[in-house]
Amino acid sequence: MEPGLEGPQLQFRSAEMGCAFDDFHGLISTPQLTAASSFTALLELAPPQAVELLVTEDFPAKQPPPPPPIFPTDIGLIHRASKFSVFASADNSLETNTILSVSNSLAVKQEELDADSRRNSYSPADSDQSLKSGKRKEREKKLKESNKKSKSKAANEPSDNGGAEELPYVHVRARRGQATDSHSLAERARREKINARMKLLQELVPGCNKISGTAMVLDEIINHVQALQRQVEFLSMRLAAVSPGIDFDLDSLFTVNGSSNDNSYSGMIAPPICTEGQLDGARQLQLQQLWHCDELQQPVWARETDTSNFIAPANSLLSYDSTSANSGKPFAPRCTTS
Amino acid sequence: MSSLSQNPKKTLLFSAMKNPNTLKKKLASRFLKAMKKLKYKMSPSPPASIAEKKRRHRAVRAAAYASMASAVGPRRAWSRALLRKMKGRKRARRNPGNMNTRFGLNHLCDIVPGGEAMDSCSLLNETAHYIKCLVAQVQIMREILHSSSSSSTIL
Repeated sequence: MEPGLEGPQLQFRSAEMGCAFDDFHGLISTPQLTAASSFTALLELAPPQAVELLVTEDFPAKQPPPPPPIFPTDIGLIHRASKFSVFASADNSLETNTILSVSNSLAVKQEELDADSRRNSYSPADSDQSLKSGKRKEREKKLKESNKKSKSKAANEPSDNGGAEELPYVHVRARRGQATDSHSLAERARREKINARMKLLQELVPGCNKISGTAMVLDEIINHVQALQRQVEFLSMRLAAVSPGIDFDLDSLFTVNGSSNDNSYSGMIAPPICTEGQLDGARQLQLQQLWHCDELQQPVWARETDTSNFIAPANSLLSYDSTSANSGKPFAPRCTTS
Repeated sequence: MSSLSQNPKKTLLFSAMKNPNTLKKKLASRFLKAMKKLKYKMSPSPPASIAEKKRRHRAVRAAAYASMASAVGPRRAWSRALLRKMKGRKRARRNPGNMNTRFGLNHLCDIVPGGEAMDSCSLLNETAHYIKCLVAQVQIMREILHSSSSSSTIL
């Protein structure tokens, strides 16, 4: 690899700082850092740890009023930096990179940056300030989407290659043509998080992929959860009726182990229609008795005995007033004897 | 868990921490233990009165939810809330100003246990995990019923 010219300065700076990490001291001391191979030696030793250590600690710059330089936060950048001596000068080369306070996203960013780096063309070791900063600006712009916002909104900056950032805030870069207000950035980050979660939930709930619009998806999710809770209720009632006859020890051998692999949500949806259709008259009578006397309200009882319509038109049967009927019941089993 | 990056695949990976089989086995073992405990308490003959039936039903349901919550452990907010409901009645309802941010999640926070004291993002997380566990629990109970009904001729 090409020599990283100012590589040792990084190490020395951190050593000056009195870095609290003993590992880092060990990393520094053992490889006998020289000008040629310091940073790469550091890399070879323990790239992820080194990056984490670099990330999670403040490193003041050499200048007396130090804006703390921000080291690039992923391994790809550091590799490329060491190769192509991005850190050639000590002055302000390290200032404007962003730092993520969560090391989990390192891998994500690394993928992105690797993809970016293949697109970029690298000049050899005589990189100028402007070229470096230009590259960095590119990378930062492409890092926008994966950045997260921390709780503090104060340290956001628009997407110009500006002065030093502060640690340990997480920065969200404004995309092109969007407001760079700190509030809106925070809101946007939150919204993106929430949309990602909603996508997950859409995958989890069957039949939600076709629905567009968060409100309907939310309704579907609520319906699904309620249907599941009703199923638990129903099955617990059947189990309670049958359970003196069940040998629970042997069941542990038979039930779950082999037969469960194919049961997906579709498998879950289909059987309710057939198992609840297996009710004979006696069972239905028992259920009706029980639920008539229980303080369940009418719509719930009507739904449960309407076995053929269990899942599919559950939307039509459900009125959203009945959410209040179901609200206290499902997960708060009050063992009151009435 | 909620502090991960926004990559949905990754959060799915991390949120499906327990891949379904291990989760199911855990849930199943706990539930069967609870049912065994219950069985000793119950009278061996089918109960005559409706009150007895209702009590049994509620006991089984409570066992289902309790076993589900304890199998998941205190790692999840909804399981913590469920366990709190089972044991004492300490309503740990520290509201960090949620009502402003609640874009239409009102029904959901009524349904998912512990949903009120959560912000929207974690509420959606908890809902996802809760749905997974509910599905697994339902499958277990159904399989128990099927195996018992196939072995004996009660149905």
